[in-house]
Amino acid sequence: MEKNQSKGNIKVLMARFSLDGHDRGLLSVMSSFRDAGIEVVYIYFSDSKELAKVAQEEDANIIGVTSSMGQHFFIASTLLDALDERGIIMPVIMGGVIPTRDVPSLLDLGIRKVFGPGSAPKDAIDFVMGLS
Amino acid sequence: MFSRKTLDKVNEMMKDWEREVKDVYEEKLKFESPQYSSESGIPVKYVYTPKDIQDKEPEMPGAFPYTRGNRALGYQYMPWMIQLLHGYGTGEETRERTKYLIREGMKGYGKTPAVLFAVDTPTHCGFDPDNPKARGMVGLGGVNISTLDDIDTLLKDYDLPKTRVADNIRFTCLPFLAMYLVYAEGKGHRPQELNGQSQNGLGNRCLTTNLPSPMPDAQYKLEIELIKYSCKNIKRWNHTNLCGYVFGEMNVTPAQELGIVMSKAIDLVEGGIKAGLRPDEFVSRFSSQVHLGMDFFEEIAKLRAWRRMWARIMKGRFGCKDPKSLQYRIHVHTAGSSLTSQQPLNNITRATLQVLACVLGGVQSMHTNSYDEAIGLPSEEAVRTAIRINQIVLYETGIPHVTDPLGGSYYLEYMTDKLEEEAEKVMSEIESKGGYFECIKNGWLRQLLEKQSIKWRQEVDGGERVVVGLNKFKIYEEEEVPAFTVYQPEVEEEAKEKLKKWKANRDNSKVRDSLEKVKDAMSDYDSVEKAGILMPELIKAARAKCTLGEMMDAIVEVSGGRLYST
Repeated sequence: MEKNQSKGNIKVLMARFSLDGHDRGLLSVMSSFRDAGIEVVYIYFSDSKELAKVAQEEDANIIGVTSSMGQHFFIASTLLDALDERGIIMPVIMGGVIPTRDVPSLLDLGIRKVFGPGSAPKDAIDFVMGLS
Repeated sequence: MFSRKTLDKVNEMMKDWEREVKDVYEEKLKFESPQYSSESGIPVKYVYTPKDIQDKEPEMPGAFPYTRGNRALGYQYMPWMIQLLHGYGTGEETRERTKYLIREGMKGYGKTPAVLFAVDTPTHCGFDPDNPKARGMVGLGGVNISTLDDIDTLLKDYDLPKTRVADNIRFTCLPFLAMYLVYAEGKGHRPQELNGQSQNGLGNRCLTTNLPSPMPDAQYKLEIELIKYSCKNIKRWNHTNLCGYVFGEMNVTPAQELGIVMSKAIDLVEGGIKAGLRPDEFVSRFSSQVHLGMDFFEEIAKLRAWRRMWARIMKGRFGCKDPKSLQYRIHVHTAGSSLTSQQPLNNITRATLQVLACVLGGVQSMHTNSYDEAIGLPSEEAVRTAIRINQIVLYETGIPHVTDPLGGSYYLEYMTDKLEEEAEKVMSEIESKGGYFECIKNGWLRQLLEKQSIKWRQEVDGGERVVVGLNKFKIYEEEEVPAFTVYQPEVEEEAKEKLKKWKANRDNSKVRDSLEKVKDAMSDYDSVEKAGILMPELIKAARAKCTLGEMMDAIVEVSGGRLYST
């Protein structure tokens, strides 16, 4: 747990649903994270339970999930349930193509922040840095 | 192209021009002249003159190397096809969208309706709706197809031989084609009567939209199989879409897009030859999907260079003689990556400029993006507006009255030559690394794509690249654009129900037997020389009511499984 206490050692688990092939945004964000000294682990998953398990094993500070095909509610609800089941408290942020009108509902579900199209990587970096 | 006298005169005039720039702008006005270059990195001068194209030979539309157009007459004889890729939710919803688009002006050549449909990602990959891996994604981004019934839902209103059926399927092209042939057979049509196209671009699809795909060696064999089968049995079928679009969406430059696509074409033509085909038998049935971005003149130059480069390669390298093999027919998809979700109406302006570039570049067919596509699937109003852009250019501007109206422009001709040179460099580099399919396997292409897309983002973030509304001229209160919604859980439940009924109404021992035969054929198909042995078994399997997912699973089971990420 020690590594999570200093700013330089923030670890983000970035995840893409394997049937959502859009990873261009994700690649850019990961590259910016790494440039900012944030540790990044990238996985694709086909089941949110799998993702929750990896999050626990990796002992990440935060999970970032991308959704560009309209599956954001499905992923948000199944992932948050899966984290609950494991008793993990870990903030989840989302990015990708997410209509602004869906953002309040995602936040209600328990997603901490949504970075839609046009968000600057800096916004995400500031948010992640602000966690610890 | 110019007399000595003219060139001498140009030299004199150039000296005057240069003097004025120096004396007035640089010295008196202290103007620091910016250095421009095109997207592909070609330096752009402030003005071009006959000197820039003095060694050029004159060219005409309809004559080799077809830079100015494939045929003697262009849009005067035949306007471009307005084709829009579409599909979502259930088959019924997609069918209604198709009807709407046709009513508003979507059309193939002549009177042929075009049904250009998008499928969801489970269908792309071959996961039926009852496969846990499909969960949450059925009906998103396109329609789900797993059975002959699903095809019927989409196409039951069409007279198949008079309809252009084009799917955008990624990895399951072969099982889908087998199913389509069996569906048509049920309607009393032989394969030879049908027309349309397959994507057949398994390789590039796994490089770009990063989805679970067959292994690289299997990808190549499956592509050659489709070429061989359709060439022998469905003569009017465009077997392979040489898709540059997906690379453009990863921000490769226009020159890189052209070079990559040509290197892919070379690999496939060589494969077709190994499979026992003569180039003239199948080269004319390649189709295309070119990416059209915002660098206006370079994009027009790319379209012209594309035709010329194709003609030269197919003639010089492969000895094609049939003019049809040498005439590259271009379908364009305007750049999705150029759209912004901020101030989305600006996207209509972007699409208009892109349509204009396409028309000036002489394309055969176009998909025009809708202004709301950065937010989600397009609404009816947005997609109608996209069609209207085409109709306004076609009927109100007079632009299509003259073929290759920019032909002879010093700048454009120069740019066309340069773009071709740059594309040739990219092509040679790929060839020196073993060719297109080898560069998928060794990761070189994927690395290039990642590098390009990260670079684009950094340029936007750093402000060196202006995207209006995104990093400049922002507004603080963004207007809300209603996003189009698919009621996904309902769509998925319905698809699962339908599939359950389908599976209950078939002879499952026949299903098992025919899937075993598919596996046997795929195992025997150990080199492209044997192409042609898999498709007949897939057709039999489709007749036995096997699903798309079952057929794909049979194929990948004996070809190394699925590759989840490149």
